[in-house]
Amino acid sequence: MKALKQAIAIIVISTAAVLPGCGNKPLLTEMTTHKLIVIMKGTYESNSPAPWSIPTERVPDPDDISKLVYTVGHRALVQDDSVNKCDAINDDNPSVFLMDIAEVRLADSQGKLHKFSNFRQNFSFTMDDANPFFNGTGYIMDNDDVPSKLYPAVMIYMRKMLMDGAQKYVPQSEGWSASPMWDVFAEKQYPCLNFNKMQVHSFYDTLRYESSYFNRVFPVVVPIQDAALGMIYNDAFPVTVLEIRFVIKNFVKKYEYQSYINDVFTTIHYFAMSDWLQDVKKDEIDIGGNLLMVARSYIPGLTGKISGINPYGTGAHIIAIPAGADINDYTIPGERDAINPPGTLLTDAYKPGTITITPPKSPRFYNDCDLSKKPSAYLGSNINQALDYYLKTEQYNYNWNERVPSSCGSFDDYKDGWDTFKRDVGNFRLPQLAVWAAAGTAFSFENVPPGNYDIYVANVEPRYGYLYYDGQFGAVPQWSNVSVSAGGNTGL
Amino acid sequence: MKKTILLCAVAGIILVMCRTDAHAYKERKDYFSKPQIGGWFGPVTPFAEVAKRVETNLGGGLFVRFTLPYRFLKIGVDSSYQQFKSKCVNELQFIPVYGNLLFQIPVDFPVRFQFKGGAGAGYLNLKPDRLTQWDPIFMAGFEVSFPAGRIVNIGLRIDYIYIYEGYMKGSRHGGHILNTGIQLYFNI
Repeated sequence: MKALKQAIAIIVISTAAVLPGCGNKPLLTEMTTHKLIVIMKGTYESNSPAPWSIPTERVPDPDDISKLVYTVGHRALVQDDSVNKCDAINDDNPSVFLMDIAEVRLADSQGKLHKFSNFRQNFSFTMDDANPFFNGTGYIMDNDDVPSKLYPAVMIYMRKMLMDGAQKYVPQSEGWSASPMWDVFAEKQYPCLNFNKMQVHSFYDTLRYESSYFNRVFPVVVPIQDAALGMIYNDAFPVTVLEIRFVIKNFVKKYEYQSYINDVFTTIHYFAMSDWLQDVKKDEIDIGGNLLMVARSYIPGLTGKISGINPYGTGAHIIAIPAGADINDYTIPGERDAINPPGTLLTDAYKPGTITITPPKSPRFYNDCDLSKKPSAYLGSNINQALDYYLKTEQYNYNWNERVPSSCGSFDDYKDGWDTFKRDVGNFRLPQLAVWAAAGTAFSFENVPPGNYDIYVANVEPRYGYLYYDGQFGAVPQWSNVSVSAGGNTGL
Repeated sequence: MKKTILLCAVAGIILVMCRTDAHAYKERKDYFSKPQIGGWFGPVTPFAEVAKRVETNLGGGLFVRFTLPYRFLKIGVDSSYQQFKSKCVNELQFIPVYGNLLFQIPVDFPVRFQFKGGAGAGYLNLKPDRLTQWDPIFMAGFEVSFPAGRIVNIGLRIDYIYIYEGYMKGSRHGGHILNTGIQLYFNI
């Protein structure tokens, strides 16, 4: 009987100890479901994106219709002005964008990183208007939940970013011999090129003391610039959406680099993000700093809508920014490219000598102390590569002497030049809310968190491969300080 | 149907009456009827929905048992530590604390077979959400043990634990966990 009493006592004590602690959250259901939904989009717009408008690459040569030549649109907007070594015309516009993400983390306001999606995920998006990544719907990532906190930034660890259409050209007696480049995506070979390895940013980052710690894509740090200075995640809400946007749609350009593949001088043409923000110059391999991203969060059911009609006679981007924010943070100083003779259509055949294209001007163009970069010393035994190195060194010396001391007279000028560059480029941010509307048609911003917004309309039509320069967004007086409430539809 | 029941009953009575050496049986039994304390370790395996998120791991626990006046019945308290990890971010820590009633098959065998059932509570710590709470649990299990002398028993056990969350708003499923292990326990 003594044993029985002891046993009963133990059971009673242990049961009494645990009962007050019983919770009311279905933890196991929490584990197998998630309340944080991460949506990825490949568009500048948060909804209703502009349709794809990549210029056609080739048309028959008007002088000899048996031949094909690039169009003016391809030469002006798709082919970057840094492409100059190889004029072969075998480049086809890309049709698939591939992305290999190692993991995604959220940084909380104490700076602690939260792993919530440490699964390697491979994505393949066809570059057309039907794909959810490019039609404004978005693609849902696989992820888990995080503790209820404030998260000012999301970090994406990019393993690879690839596009098809990359060609390698080998000089031969009858001209350039073209063949597609093959690369590995998800452990299989595809005719595409991983441009992630070029997404470094040597011409500016290497000037900095902490340059060796810089890596622009592993991870890509995307600030979540919500009103609360970050995403508020609280598991009391059934769903919180984190929208991450990459500017890829209508923002792809063709670049070039040279390489010795099996001791054969080879020129590679490939497609990657436009260098609108940080210009890629002739002979530069690095294209970093041009992966433009923005993130925002909202709680479905606690959002409103802003609707209106595009007041202009052309298709235009309309953006909503927090009331009182500086519109110049959403644009950069610069000018679009110019095509001569004026009036030339982007679908016309490009005829050197009759048509010239002046490259666009951007923050790097205005920096007089943007000196050329010294080529790295060649230590191998290949005579061609050794001679190339000496030629590049001579070119470097020539470029340097062209600017120093005439336009870049002192070290102070140098510092000022790069500080201005940093200000212009570093302050640029993408609008969290943006839509595109055809001339005179209705538009609406969907899933707008409650708050006050200023609405701006672009006074120029969107141009392939470009975002906006200072002065290209015009304020509409009656559309300032627009108030949005949860569940409401604010008509403009 | 009635015939079958009758046959089973008769067979059962014969089985009980066929105890060969009642004295020796009692003597062996007496050691096993003492209060017992022991521990176990072995694989702990989630299954059904939970298994989609976390994986099998090694776990282990401790228990104490007391024999009731009817000597084939024991009452015990078990607790264990079970941590389920995954290749991804999910991790579940589970500490069940439960009382259980054990029934030993009343057949004179050197090997003892025991069935058990019980209920209690389980502490759950879910990562990366960092949510913790106690949930009610139910269990059923089976044990085989061999006496190794008067004090030591060596055994194998298999327990099924059900974590009940059905009473909570929004719950879609409970948790199913299978514990298997080898155990060592002492008659004290």
